[in-house]
Amino acid sequence: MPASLASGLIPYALGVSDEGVNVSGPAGPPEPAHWAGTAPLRLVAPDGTPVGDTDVGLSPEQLRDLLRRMIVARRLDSECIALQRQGELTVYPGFEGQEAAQIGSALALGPDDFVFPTFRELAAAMVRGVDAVQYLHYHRGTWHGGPYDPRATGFGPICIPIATQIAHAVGHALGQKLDALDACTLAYFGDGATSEGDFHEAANMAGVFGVPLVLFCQNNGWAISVPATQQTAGEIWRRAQGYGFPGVRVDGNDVLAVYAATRDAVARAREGEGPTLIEALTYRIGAHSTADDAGRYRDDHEVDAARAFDPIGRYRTWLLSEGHADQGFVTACEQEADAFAMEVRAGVIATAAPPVEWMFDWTFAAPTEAFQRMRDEALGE
Amino acid sequence: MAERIFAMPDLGEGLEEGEIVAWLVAEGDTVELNQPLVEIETAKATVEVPSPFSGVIERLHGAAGVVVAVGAPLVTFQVAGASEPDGVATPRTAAASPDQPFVERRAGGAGGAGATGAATPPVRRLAKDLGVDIGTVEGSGPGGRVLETDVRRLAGRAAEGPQDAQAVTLGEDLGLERVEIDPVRRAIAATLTAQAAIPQVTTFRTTDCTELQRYRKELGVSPLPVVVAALCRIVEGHPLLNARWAGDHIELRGKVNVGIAVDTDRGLVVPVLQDAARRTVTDLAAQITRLATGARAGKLTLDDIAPTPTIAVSNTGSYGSEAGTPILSPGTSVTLGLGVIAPRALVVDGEVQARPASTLSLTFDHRVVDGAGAGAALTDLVALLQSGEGLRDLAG
Amino acid sequence: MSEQAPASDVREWTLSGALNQALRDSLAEDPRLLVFGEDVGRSGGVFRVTDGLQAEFGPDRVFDTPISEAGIAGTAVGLAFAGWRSVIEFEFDAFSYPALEQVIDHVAKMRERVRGRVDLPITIRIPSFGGIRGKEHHGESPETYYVHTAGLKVVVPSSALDGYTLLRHAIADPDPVVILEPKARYWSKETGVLGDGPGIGVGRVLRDGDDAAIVTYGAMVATCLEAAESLAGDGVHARVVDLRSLSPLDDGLLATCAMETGRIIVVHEAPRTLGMAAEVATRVMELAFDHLQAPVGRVTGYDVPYPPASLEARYRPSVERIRTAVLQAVNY
Repeated sequence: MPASLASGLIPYALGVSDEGVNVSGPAGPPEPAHWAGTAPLRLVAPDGTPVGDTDVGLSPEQLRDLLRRMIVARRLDSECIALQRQGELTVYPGFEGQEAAQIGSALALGPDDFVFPTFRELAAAMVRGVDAVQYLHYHRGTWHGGPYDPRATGFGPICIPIATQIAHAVGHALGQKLDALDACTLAYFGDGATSEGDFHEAANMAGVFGVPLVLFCQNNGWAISVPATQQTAGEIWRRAQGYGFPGVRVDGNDVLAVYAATRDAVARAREGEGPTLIEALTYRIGAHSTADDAGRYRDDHEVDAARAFDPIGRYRTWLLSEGHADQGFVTACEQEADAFAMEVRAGVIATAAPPVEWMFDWTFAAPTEAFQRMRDEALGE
Repeated sequence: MAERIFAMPDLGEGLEEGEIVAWLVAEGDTVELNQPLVEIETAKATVEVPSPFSGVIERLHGAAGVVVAVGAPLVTFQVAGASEPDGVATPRTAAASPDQPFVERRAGGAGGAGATGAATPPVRRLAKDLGVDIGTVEGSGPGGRVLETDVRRLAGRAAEGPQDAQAVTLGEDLGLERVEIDPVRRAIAATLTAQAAIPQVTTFRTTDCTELQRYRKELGVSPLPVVVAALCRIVEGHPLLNARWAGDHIELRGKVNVGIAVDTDRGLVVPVLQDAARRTVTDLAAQITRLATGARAGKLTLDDIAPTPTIAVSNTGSYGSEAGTPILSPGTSVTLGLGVIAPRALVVDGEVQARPASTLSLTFDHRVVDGAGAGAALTDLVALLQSGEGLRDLAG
Repeated sequence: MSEQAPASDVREWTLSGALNQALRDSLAEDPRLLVFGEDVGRSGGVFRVTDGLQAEFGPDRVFDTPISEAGIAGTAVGLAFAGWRSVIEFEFDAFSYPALEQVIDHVAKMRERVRGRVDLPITIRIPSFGGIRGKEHHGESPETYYVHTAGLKVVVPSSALDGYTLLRHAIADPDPVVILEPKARYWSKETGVLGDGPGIGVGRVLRDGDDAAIVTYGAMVATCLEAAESLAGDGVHARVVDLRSLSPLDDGLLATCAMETGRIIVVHEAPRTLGMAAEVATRVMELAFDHLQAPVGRVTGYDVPYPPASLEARYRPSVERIRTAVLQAVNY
């Protein structure tokens, strides 16, 4: 086994220290507690200065696109919270703070790849081409999982039972391998999911079968009210070694680092080299969902401190300082984001309950006579 | 401008209400979409609610401290235009529950059990098909359960077998079947047997009921109460009708208690109409109806059956009988039977006419009343019933 | 056992062998069918039901997994998204429980969740029920959990030839099917030709009779047939019905039996409360209330944890208990 794999790190051209180093320096703002430990892969520092090789193979237009998407996503997230407060959505789990982790990773996937998400990946869903209003059906209570077509978008249904989607991703990747496709599968999950048995079983099977799978953990520091430091005693990325494949720790709020790490993991998978576990360190700025009162267990100061590591601010600074974009571009993105939010608002409000027949129409591909009778009786036919 | 009402939303998974902590706007303010509107405290958290519309605040429904139920009006806006593309019409409450309230079926639908027991489904079905009220069937199965044979018996049909022609059988096999009798029937039988020992004779008289019918229709009653009233009047002149044989003497009674014979499912019942001579015809009619209905429903009181009848009347015409030989009621010497009132050919003024007519049957205890006496009483009774003037003289 | 005479000949089959042949024929017909689970590949299954399949079809199509029941079920779901059909096995009844979350939350619901854009053609094979004097957790009757989960179909074979038919139907079904195989009957024999037969949702009458109808499935079918034979000696002619399909139930057959006999006795090993007898009794009442001559009888396991081997015979319905129940109904 190559030395880099034995140490559990994907070989990168930059030096990554095994000692816990706070890259922003001793005088900088305190990092989120769960970021302690092995220094993550980082290309752009929290203050926007480059600290690694930021040439990740993206054109200036693509680099601008990253910022645009993050700005639009964040704006949509806050609109969804407002919609919930206005009674238009039932419960909405926000992703503020995790834009880079989702968008950076999703953009590294190709059209033949497939994603199995949790319930918090609206930003990644939009990258994959899922219509936001359709996605939000789930939170409007008009359908489970969203009515979007998973096969057309390469984005699976919203999954609530924690970690169960990871096993689905293993199966899908196995299917891709059996068909010898030049493609891979990516599973999103959080820090909490790594405690579930399904994570372990799926990761173990992924290693045994050597499937083309990217296991992407957004360690956002919180599983509802349980901090990541209480969720597990070890570092999540290190578990990969136990399963026989590489793991890497990355600054999940550094969109370029996220993109690079995912790009490499995707390449490994497509080349038949098996799974990779990526632990993306990020922070959940908002509450677990609109039904959660984070003030009961989390200090506002901690959240404020975490904003110093915000993905959008630092990337905007870097992008502008590199000359890939100007303030005019940023303003245009913000205006686009506002308009988009209004469009989604209108779409959500216009979404009505489906016909009651739909409750029966998709349970079975081959409904039995008994099922049909029940359906007819229920519908008064 | 159009008025839009923003109702209190469900701010978190099934909440029912929220308390207004503080308004962040005032009535009359112009606000923008998503501008912070109000702080609401729920059971879970204090939450800032953004404005669902751009427009003018017309009314705030409640001051700080007021608790507003989910779905109740929170803010009334005046918004531009008739239909707003943005904003909220009436905010939805928590996802509507499709559950209908589950209505419990009441047990025991179509058939209560028999008086003492239950019945299996096929027996209930049979009873229903045969038009038998299973509640009236005495069950002979275990625990009083009603069996198929019980039902068929009550329906009066043969137990089993095809109804079409069968081969004639000869010999001693009579196809016997034992029918059990209940205590009521047993008691009635004993009484009737005792009564059969009395020497009783029946005499008959045909009555032209034209005046009777006219009079009774004026009063809006049936013929029977009129006949009872007439009989009471006749008794005044023929006291032996209201007497009884007392073994070594005849006992006359001043009060007239008329026993009214009523046929019921359980047998012949004779409730007593007390002090009939002092009642009006209308009152007699009401009493008779009450007694007859009560007898059939098994709901007579002690007052109805305990008193001794002094004379009895049997309305045999009610089941179509023209004349009969009514049996004496215990403790009486006379029972009057009223036959069916139907058109007959009578000779009136030398001509045959169709008139409503009835045959009165008077059974009498020959130890108390003799034939001449009975005949005389009947003559007077018939004369009274045939006299319009006489009938109207009866207390109406 | 793959070097037998061709399956089209009349020959003696064990249930295990017939199921093995069903898998073989399905694998041959559908190149996108996979068979996987614990010990199914190299060793051919603890009951030999997958014997010889890996050698014949290769380790890409028939393979062993780590001990990960939830992972196995989840993998089958993901494979369905990638257009593959799966037959998975949970080695014993109680070992299917770790996968219940995946089966109930995803296998049963995924198609409705994605509005039919993905089919879940997954067959879940579970050696089930008691009668092998097994250790704890090796004799359970888990059918209620699966029948009660909307979105699944559930079948139970009772004999070799019908086992072939049912498993073939299950695999061909585009929907998820749980097949509970009576392990006590794996070595039972039946002579005949393997072939097509009634599908899912259809029961069968194995013995005619008009005095009462004994309704059952799985390993209890043989016991009920024994009881019926014994009752015939006493002049009571009991019909024996093999449900074959627990979800959906064959309502038509249940109604016919109730109308023609008026007396229904349901027999199953599973504990009494909320076992299949409860559902069958209610259906019979709904369909044929006026025809019932006696209450629907139940002969079932008790509401206790499945006992050790030494007490097993006192727990599972016996010929004597079944006889008693039938006679009670007849003499009601």
